[in-house]
Amino acid sequence: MSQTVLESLNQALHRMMQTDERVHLIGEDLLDPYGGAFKVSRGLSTAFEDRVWTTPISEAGFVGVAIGMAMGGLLPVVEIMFGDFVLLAADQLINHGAKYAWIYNEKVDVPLVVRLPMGGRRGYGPTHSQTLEKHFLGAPGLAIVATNPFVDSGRLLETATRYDRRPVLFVENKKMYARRQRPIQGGRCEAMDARVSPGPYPSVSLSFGSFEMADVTLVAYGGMAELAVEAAERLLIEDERYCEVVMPTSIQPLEMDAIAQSVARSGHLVVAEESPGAGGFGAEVISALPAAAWAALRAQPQRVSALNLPIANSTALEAATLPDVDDLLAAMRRVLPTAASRSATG
Amino acid sequence: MEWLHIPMLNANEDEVEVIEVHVDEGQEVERGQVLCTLESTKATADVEAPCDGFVRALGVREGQRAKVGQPLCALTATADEPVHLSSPQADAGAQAGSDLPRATRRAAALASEYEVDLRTIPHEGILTERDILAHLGRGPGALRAPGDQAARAHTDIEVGGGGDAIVIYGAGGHARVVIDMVREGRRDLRIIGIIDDAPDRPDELLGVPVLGDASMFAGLRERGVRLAALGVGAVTHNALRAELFARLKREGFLMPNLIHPRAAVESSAQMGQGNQIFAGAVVSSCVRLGDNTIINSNVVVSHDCIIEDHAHLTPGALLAGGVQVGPRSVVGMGATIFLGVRVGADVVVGNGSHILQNLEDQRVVRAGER
Amino acid sequence: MVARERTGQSDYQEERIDPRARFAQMEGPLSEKLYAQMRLIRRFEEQLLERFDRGLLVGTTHAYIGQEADAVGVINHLRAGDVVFSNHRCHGHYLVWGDKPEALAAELMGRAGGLVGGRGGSQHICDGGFYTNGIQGGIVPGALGLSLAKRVRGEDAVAVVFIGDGTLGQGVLYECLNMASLWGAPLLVVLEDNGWAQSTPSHREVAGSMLERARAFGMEAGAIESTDAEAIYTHFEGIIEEVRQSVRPRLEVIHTYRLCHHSRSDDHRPAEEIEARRADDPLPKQRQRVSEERARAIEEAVEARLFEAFEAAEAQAQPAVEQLDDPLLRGMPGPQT
Repeated sequence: MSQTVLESLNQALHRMMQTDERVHLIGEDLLDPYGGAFKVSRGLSTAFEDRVWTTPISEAGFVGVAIGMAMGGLLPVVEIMFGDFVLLAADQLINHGAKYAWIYNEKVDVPLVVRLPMGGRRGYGPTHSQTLEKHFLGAPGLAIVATNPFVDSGRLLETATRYDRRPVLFVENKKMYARRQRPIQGGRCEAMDARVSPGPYPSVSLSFGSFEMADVTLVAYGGMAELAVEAAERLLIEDERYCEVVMPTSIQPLEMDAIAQSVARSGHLVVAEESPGAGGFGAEVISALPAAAWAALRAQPQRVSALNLPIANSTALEAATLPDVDDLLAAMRRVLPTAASRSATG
Repeated sequence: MEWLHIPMLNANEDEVEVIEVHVDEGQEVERGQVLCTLESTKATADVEAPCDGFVRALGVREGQRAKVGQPLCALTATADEPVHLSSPQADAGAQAGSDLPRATRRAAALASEYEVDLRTIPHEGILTERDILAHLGRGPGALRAPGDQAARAHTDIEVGGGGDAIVIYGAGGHARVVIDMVREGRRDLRIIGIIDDAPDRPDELLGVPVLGDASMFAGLRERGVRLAALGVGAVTHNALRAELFARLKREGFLMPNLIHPRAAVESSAQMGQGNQIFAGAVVSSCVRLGDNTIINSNVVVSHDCIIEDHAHLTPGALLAGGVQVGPRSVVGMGATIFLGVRVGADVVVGNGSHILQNLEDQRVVRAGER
Repeated sequence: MVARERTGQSDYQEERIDPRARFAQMEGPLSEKLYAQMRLIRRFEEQLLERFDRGLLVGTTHAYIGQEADAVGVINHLRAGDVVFSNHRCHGHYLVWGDKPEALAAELMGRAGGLVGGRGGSQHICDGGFYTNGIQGGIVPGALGLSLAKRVRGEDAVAVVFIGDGTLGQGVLYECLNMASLWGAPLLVVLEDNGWAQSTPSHREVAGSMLERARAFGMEAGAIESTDAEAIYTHFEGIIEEVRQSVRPRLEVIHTYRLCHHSRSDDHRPAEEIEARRADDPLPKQRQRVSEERARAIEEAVEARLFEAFEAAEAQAQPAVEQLDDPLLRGMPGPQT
């Protein structure tokens, strides 16, 4: 039985703090027995009392403090209680932490990790349900990594914390915490063929058939990853069409190789994100397609995203605002030719 | 009878872990008896029987993750009363609980039509139509002992195990066109021979051996041949083509659609099976073809036309948008049919005629008539 | 997981500058040393403004003219391992800290040999524990974080952050005073109150008491109203050591005056106010404590040094454009295996 994403993250923090005394934890309400709003930090203040800083409600302040700590040789991991609150620290991230290494002519590093529990579908309403990392797209020097259940979240966090010299926004998804990780072994993940790209923040590609059979490429990251896999399964069962799901974890800089290779095979592209689409991840993916992938496209790429609205508290309104499996399926059917004549007997 | 569903253990999780299942399918239980134990990240819970009854359609296994709201099992008052799988939830539960492999809708339809047991089809992951077809070449006939009568009669036929063998029914002029079409347009298929019921049938056609009459079908089927094409044009006698097609279906054959590589078929066109689309034909957007139609050379079928089963559009026929042609009807060479006209069943439209209004069933329009 | 170890982190070594040791090694009595440093700042800023007027520089600059006594009074007490976080008006602070007028001039001219290779310019420099940034108040959390990192690593270092009266409007400052006091940070906040935030006088933007704002967080706060370099130097000697020993934050206000415009050509203060404050110019005050002969010698040496610095800076190459690659492609971890 594999770990949940939550367990994986929590154990990685325990492991890192055990083996590397430079790792410090900073954020609101981290102390046991509470252990952070989503329990990712549980047990750490008991085990490492002097390296867990529970803070006042001062996002700009403590993100900036962590930037200073990182410049001073520590490896701080900041927990923002709800990802929505990172906007309070946007100035610290964009005008300070993300710029220092470069404007100081690489005399300093800012090896900072800011953990962001993002995403909706839990009825938390307009200011506690958003997916806001898109607002940091195009901020020079700021890496964005988004985990999903098909990678080892804990290992990804450890890479970002101990081996990455850049400031990293580490995007998690609230719905994902209770999900079990879905490991990839021997090129398979459950009933799917699986490929994992090389590099510290791998892109995972999954397909219910062999990759050569892909009819459409569905790019999804973070909280959309599992929905995309569900949509791919339904496309196969209902239409007998093969969808290759590509799930990048390096959102900035955007890792395009796996996406481009898949599009070159499938000729059709759908890109999904949980935030409203304008000026977001999907637009970025489509504009970054290399010429070869572009030439292979046989239909206009489709973007699946949230409606351009605040997220309502009501379950019905929230569900209608955020993209779901049906939306992904509909978008794939929009880009694919509708011929029933492509059955195996015809 | 009562359905039980997976309960929500905590508000933030839509899935639970099935830790233990304490009952078996069909087991009699008493009210309050623990059926299974579920676990979320925060809690463990026993699900108890709400009343006395028999556990039926048990839809969970130990160690699986179950979705909140998914059917857990049904409780029936007697051991053998039928369990109604009426709600979509129940369907999902039935599929989760059965030992049948997961299959695509097409594969399931194919399997039920040809009575294939899905459990016998080797596959990885979700079973597709492709998997079934690939397996057909390795049917039970392949395991027959040498010396068996039916198998010996076919010893010179190379069926192979790829599921790509196809046999043609009929050795007339039309069959030659079908041979060329398969060779040109369906390089994934291998024509293994021709079956013809005429006593004076040739020995071969374009290098394809003529094997014998329809009595050979069963043997071919046993040897794993599952694909067939109708090689009979029969010009105005489409009832015969319908009958032969039905025969092939009864024998258990699948009829692939054969589309000449130089025909233009829009991707939005839909078709059933066994259709033949010849060189130069245009099948436009959103056209619907039934089964076993012939769209002959240089026919134009404009957008939104509906051509029903066994109809034959002979060379050069021109159909405007939205035309309907009923089952078994023939449209003659060079005939034109006006926008939206409905041609009934078993109609013959003569060569060169111009049809401007609907034609009732069995009507015959002589050549050149308007 | 196999990945490249973070370079320069596990054996984290910053380049260190020791202003206190350099000050001790300067020749002559305290009075002369302070005058020499202040003269260097004054003439550097004046020459800079003159170059601006001649169109030799681009962008903007914020002159430290009138506040020189603060820089020499505070920074000469700092030693290797201490850090300074400064703001937009940082040239004076840096010249006392790093004493490299050529590298500073080259930076302001956007030359390859500038303090940060021409990337930062006037408000964004970095050298051996000295950092500046151009966002009002935004530097305070970084300074606090650095001071805490020092504490955690067992160094008895202090971090000094320079802010102005205008920065008192920024909320993040109070977030940091709160945390610094809660956590016990060796952080000295030096508030140079020069009476004006760009074109807005203090009384239009600072309500109540500056000191009480800090004291409300349970931290020590004090003030000195002076432009006398020696008085400020003496005042801060004890304060910096107190912050170092107690490992507690402190706010220290210096009430001073800016004799120059905020940046360039934006001075609309009443002329009579500026004229009245010329009497408080820290340089003549300090010059009186030095013999005429020594003063002239110091001034000549400063002129010669600055002439050389600006000439050398001007002769330097522009930075290579090839270095404009995505900073995110540096510092990535190695591939996992």
